[in-house]
Amino acid sequence: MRRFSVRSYRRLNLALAVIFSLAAPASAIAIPTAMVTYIETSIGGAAYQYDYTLINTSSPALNLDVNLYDVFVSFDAAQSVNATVPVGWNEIHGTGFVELFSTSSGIPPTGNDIGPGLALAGFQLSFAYRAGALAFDALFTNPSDVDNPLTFAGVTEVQSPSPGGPVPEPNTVLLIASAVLCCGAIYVKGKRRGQTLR
Amino acid sequence: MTSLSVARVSLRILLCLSSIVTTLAIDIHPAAALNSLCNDSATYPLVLPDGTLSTETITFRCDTVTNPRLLVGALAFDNLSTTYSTPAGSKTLFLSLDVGVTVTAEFNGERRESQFSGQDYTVLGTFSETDLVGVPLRQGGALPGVDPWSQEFIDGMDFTIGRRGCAITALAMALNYLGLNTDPGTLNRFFTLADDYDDHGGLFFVAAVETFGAIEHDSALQFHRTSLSSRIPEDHAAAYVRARLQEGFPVIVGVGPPGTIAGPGSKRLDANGVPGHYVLVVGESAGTFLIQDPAATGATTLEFYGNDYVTRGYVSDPPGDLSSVELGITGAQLLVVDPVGRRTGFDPVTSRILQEIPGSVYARDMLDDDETGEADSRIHSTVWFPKQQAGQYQVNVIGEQAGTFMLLVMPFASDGRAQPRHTATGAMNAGSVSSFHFEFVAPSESTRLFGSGYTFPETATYRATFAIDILGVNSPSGSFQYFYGRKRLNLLSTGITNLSFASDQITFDGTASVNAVEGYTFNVIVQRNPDTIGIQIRKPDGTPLFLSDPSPISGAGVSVDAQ
Repeated sequence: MRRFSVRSYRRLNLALAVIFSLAAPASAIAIPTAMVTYIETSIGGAAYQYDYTLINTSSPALNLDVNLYDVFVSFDAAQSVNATVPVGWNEIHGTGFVELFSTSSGIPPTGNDIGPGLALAGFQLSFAYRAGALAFDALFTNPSDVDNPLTFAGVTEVQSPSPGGPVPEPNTVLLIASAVLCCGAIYVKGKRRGQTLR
Repeated sequence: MTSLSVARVSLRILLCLSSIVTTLAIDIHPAAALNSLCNDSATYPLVLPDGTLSTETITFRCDTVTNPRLLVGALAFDNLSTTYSTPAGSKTLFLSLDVGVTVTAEFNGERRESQFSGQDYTVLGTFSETDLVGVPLRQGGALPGVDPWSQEFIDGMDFTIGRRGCAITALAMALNYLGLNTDPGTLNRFFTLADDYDDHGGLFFVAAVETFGAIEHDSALQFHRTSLSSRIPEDHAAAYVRARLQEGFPVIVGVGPPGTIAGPGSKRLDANGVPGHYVLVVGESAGTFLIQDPAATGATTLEFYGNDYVTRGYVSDPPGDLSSVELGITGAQLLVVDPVGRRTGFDPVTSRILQEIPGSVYARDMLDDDETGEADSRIHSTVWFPKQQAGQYQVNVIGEQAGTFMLLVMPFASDGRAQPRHTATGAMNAGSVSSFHFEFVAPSESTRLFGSGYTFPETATYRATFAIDILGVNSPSGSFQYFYGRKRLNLLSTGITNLSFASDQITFDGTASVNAVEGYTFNVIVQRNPDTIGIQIRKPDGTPLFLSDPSPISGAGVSVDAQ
C-alpha cells in the first residue's frame, strides 16, 4: 500500500489552493461559447436542407445562468431561406440572414433559452443552394449586466456522431492540465525527500 | 429723443397723420422696468398732450423676444381713431430696442434711432392699416449697432451675411413677423447644417423654411414660392403682395442690387429681370409698398428700387398636403417636364420661361454683394412645384457657362417634412443640355410594402431584425415583426392602422404584442435611397417603451410593389 508523507499532503493542499485561486478569476472572465452543428441533406436540384442543433458549450460551472437565446446566421447575400424553429423559438429571415431567437427568457421549464452545457435541436433551414458551413453570431444572457448580453461568433459545423455533448472550453482544459502537472510535481518532490506518513 | 427723469419712464409718440403732428406722452408707472413692458397683460394709461388722462390705454406686447441682446416691443392702440383722427380699427406700432444702447423704431418705413438710457425711450410714427409688426434686421453695412451675426460666413463661402446675406436676413424678419423668433446668424447655422445653400451660397427658400420649422417649430412651415414680376402686368405681382399683406404675411421680394447705382429709384432688376437683393414687404401706404431692407440703404419703400421687383414668397404654417419638390442649380437653367409633358423652366428652343406644371415656379436669383456692389458671377436657378404627380419627371440642365454643375432635387412629404435629397453632377458648356429622370410612386390599395433586414439601433454589437409585409393604403393590413436582441424585445403586430407614402418616406403605425403582451403601439418610418428604418414603441399606457432613430438597413431592405 502506498504511503504519503504529511508534507506531501500539505503541499498537495497548497497546490489545490493555488489551482482554485487561479480558477476563480478565470470564472469571472469566462467567455461563453456556442456550437451550431448541422446535418446537410440534398432535397433536389440545387436545394439543400440543413437541420441544426444549437449548443451552449459554455461551462455550467463557470457560466451559471449564461443562457443562449439568439443565433444570427449569415449566408450568401443573394440567397433567401425557408426556416422552421422548435416550439418556444421564433425567427426573422431575409436574403442573406436568418435570426433564430428564444421567445421567453430562462431555461425550461420557465423559458426556452439554452442553458450552459445544453443543446436544442429542431432548427431547419432550406436554401436554394448548398450553403455548407455558415458564420453565426450568438447572444447569451449576462447575469452581471443584463443590458449588455454576452456575444460569441463562430462557424457552423457538420454534426459529429454524438452531437450535443458539452465541450470543455480551452481555458478549462488548460486549468485541469496545469493542475495535474502541479500535483505530479509535488508528489515527485515529496517522494524524493523520503518522508513517510507513520 | 427725449430725456426724462429717472423716476418716470415716458414714451413720446409722434403721430404723423395728414401732416398733423401730435405729440402724446404716455405715462408709465415709475416702477415699470423695461422687462415689465414685455407682458401681454401690461396696460398703461395714455396722457394726452394737454396733460389729461385719456380713457384709452396702451398695451405693450413683447411676444417676440429674439435673443437676450435684442428686445422687441409692440404697442397696440385700441380705438384711438375717434380721438386722434386715425383710421378706425386697431392700430399697431412697434419698436425694437437694442437694450442699453439704442432704441430703433420704424414707422411708415422710416427708421428712427435714439439713445436708450434704460428707463426712457422714444417712438416716432405710425403704421398704416396693412402694416405688419416685426423686427427690422440689418445684415451689415454702415449701420451702427450691427449685430455680430453679420460677420458670420455663409456656408463654406468666402463672404459674410453682411455682404450677401440679404436672403436669410429677409427670411429671418419674415419669421419674426410670424412670432417665430430668430436671427440671421441662427438661421445661417441651421441652414449650414441642413445644407440648404447651393454650392455658391444661394439659399433654397423652401428647404430652408422646412429646416427652421423642423428645428424651431412644432409643425411644418412652408415657404410659398412665387416668382411674379412687376414688369409683367399679367403676373399681378402687386395684387399678390397686397393680398398677402392683408392676410398678415409679409412678402419677400427680389429687387435690384442696392449698391451698384447711386440714387433712389435707379436700382433695378437686371435686363432679364433677375434680382440681386432681397427685401421684405411689410405694408402699403398710398399705393407704395413699405419694406424692411436688410441692406444699409435706408430704403423704406419699393420706390427706392424703382418698384421693379419680383416676388419670392412668404412663410406660413398651413394645413393640408404640403408635398412639393424644389430643384436647384447654379450656373445653368432648368427645364422640368412632368409625367404628362407639362414643362416648367427655361425652354432653350424658344428662350421662354414656362410654368406649365400646376402651381409651379421657376426663379432665377443672384446674390450681389450688398457692401461693395459686386454682382454675383453665377445665377441660381430653382424650380418648385407642389403635389408631385406619380410618374417619371425629366430634368434638363441647360448650361450657361463652361464648368461643372450639381443639380439638387429636394422633395417634401405631405406633412412638409424634407425627404432624402438626390443630386446629379456633370460637366456643362454654354448651351449644353444634360437630362436626368426621377420618379414618384403613387400608393394605392394594391400597393404592397414588404421586406426584411436588420439594423444596429444603438451599438455596432447588437442587431435588430425586422420583417414587413403590408398591403393597401386606405385600409392597410399585414404584419410587422421586430426583434432587438440586446433588449430581447420581440414585437409582433396585431394590426396595421396607417400606411402612408410620401416620396421616399414610408410611415406605418399599428398595434402589437411585445414579448407576448398585447396593447402596445408602434410607429415605423422607412426612408428609401438610402434605406433606413426608425421605430417608436409605446406601452399600453402610451408612455414610450423603445425608440430607435432611423438607422441604415442591412440585409434585404424594403421594397414597394405598386402594381
